Amino acid sequence: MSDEQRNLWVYGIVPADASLEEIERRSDRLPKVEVVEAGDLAAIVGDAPEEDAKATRDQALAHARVLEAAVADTSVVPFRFGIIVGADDEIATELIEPRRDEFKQLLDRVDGRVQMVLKVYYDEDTVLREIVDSDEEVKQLREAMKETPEEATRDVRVQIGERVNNALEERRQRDSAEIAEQLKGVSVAGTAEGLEKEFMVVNAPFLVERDKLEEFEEAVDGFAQERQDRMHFRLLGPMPAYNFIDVEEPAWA
Amino acid sequence: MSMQTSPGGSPVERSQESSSLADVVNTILDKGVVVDVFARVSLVGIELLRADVRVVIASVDTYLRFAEAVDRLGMGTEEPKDLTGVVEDVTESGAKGKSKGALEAGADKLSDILEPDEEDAKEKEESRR
Repeated sequence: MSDEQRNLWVYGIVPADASLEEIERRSDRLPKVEVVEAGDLAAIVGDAPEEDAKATRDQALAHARVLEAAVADTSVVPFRFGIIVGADDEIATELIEPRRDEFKQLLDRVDGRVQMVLKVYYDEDTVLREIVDSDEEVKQLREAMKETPEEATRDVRVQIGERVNNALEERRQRDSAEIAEQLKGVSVAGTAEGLEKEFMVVNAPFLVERDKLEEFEEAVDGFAQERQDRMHFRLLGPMPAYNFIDVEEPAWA
Repeated sequence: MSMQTSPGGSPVERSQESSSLADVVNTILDKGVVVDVFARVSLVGIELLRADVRVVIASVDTYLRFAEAVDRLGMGTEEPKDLTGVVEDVTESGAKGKSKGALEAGADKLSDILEPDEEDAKEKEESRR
């Protein structure tokens, strides 16, 4: 093994002529990265983290942030977390060269597009109140729960909870469909990821044209204004098109 | 760090730079390109990362939490509820953040309805991350 042997973390692939100014600009809060060129492609790499849990956690945020900074300036093929190459010279010969055409295809696919992730949550008390107010049975069960000694209410509680859960699911279906409908015109594609919280409405990555980003954000703002009494909205991105990179022709179903 | 609200008082919380592990873990662990010849390292703690953000929905535990939430929900038309039951129940479930919410909701129900306590809701959200 040569002296140069070290573990290099691979963040992603970009065109070799990409500027990457944003990575420079955010360098005080990003790990040190290097760009290794191979013809018209380049890999963004850095030192792999130490083998301990804290370093792994730090690296998770770092991985996402480096790629976010890169996508501010260029198309990026994001790598999954945890891919390590043994030495500098392997980047060109082992990583890029054998897959040059594939990487170029992927770069073309995300050219001019970025991912935005919309996370919407119900205001817990507001939606619960809606459910109780609109469901006589929940109201009655709730009364029953109050009149029964604490230790004897488990069955009633499970019944209430299940009913609330069903009502919540119905609302979730309705509301998430409505949100998707409103964003179709300003995005190339959209999908839904698993929910992260019980009162989450939708966890939705969208593929958006860079020159429609403003329109997209305005659309999100617009319906968030109308719904802010019962929902909270968070919008993440721009980030690389993680959720759409493996789809040949991403589109709305 | 990078949290910002867009100008004009938008209700949408924007974060242009990832600021929480919970937001990135599922994406970077499950999405993105995998290059076959380079074995993905088994970094210490990758599975822990995933466990941190895992949420199981629609279990009996969820139902019980929903029932508890409905129970402590201040409803406008009702007699004030005896607090004892709520406190015991919450202590039992061991949810520290929640017990505060339950006590507050019980103590000032009416004002709670008139002015939903947003801070409290946020706090509960935080404590579950």
